Amino acid sequence: MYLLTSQGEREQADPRFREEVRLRSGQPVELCFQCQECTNGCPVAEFAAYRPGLVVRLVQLGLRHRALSADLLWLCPACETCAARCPNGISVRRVLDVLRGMSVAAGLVPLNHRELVFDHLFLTGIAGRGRVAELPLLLRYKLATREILRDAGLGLRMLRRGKLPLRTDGVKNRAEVRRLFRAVADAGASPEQVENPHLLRATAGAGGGW
Amino acid sequence: MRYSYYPGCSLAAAAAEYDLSLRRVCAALGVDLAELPDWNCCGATPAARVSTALALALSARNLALAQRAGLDLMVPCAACYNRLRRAEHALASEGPRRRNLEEMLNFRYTGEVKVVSAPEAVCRVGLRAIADRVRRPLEGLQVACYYGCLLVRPPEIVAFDDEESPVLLDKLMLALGATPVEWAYKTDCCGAGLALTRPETAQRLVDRLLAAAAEAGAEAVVTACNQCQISLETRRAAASPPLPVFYFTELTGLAMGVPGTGDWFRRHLVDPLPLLRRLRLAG
Ligand code: SF4
Ligand code: SF4
Repeated sequence: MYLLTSQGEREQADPRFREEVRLRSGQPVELCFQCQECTNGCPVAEFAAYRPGLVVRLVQLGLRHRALSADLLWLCPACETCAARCPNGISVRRVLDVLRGMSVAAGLVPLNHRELVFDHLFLTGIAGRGRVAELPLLLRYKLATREILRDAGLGLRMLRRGKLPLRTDGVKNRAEVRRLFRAVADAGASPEQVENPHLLRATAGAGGGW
Repeated sequence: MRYSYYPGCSLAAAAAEYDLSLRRVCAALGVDLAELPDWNCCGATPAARVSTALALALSARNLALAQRAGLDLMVPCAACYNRLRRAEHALASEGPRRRNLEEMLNFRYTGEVKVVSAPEAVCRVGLRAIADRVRRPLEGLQVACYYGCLLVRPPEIVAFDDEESPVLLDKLMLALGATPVEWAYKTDCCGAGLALTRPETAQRLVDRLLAAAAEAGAEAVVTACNQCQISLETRRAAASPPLPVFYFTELTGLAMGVPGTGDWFRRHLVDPLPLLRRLRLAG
């Protein structure tokens, strides 16, 4: 079955896609009756071409490509309002996390995508020292995204106010923290526990470059 | 009262004034804090986005350490609080999730030690007892109490107060002599999660909040969330209402007359001193 989207594009419906998202997210997406409570409470809905309720609809219809390309995947700051308000107990946020991982796996996003770069640097920092060091994290992010000058003034003001210390402590038992990354990456944990396997493997140092 | 203390990565850096003011206020109220030995990052949103299992494991390691220390765990950072409560919830459930975590961390969860947010822990001393310690009532200070996302959602796991309309900070502000305003944005999202990657969008959310707070008559915002404090200070438009954003511990310390307030306020990116001077609350 082909479905037309509002942009007039054709995409073949793939019922397996709905099942995959349902399994991986643990969310009963089939129950969604399009009440739009999620969209109404979503702080970024007005900035998104694909709003929360619509993304769930795309999943239900099995429109894989549309769903995996939705801008909301990367716009969502994980406020959880959708999950708190959905009468059917669906967390759109969880669905979006899974769609992010699937869109990476499908090669639909470049690896220098900002949100992915940030998550990757954040997690490799923890895998390495057990804690986040904000200043090196920010600098690495700026380098990786080539946005050195953006917010430079703000960065200096924060430095002057002691908000970005040059040195911070790490964890002593770093081996244990590393072991947790490895254990999760190697366990082949149940699919609903690993939303983005590519990124997880890259941060756990268990093969897979980034 | 004694707690293990989990500062989290942010309180050692961008939210230093939260850490400093909380420690002072706790000391003045007779609440002992012992930093949790060798605590690790909770994983925050990135870990949860990449793997629920990893997020739970990172947070649960801290709960295992806290159980060993034998004291309830006080968590000031709202993001850490949220993640640690989720791990607590998973550990308290029966089933494979709990067994996995116990196995990975080589411990048996007993449930004797609980995760407590800093505002809860401070208010546990008793609002009456806090009011009795007030030396300089915050008279004339109209303040919007802002709770954000992380202290209230998901409600079945983390909320310690009404999820849509929490009141704990409002009650505390009343006890300090300030006037909390009524406004409808207490638990709306400030977009902190977008502050770095999509600052323009974050700014739209912040400006919406500041405009609503100003409209409600507030001259300042008070919060228990460091993500909110930082994004409200750094991601506002130049033309947005110039409201300073306080940690609840700063206003508590100010009202109680504890030393060190100058060191907290000088770290703010939106200088709170003009307002405090106008209200004769600072020299
Ligand atoms: S709130 Fe739930 S049922 Fe309503 S549209 Fe959103 S996901 Fe569907
Ligand atoms: S979690 Fe994401 S999708 Fe859900 S309401 Fe918040 S911003 Fe919107």
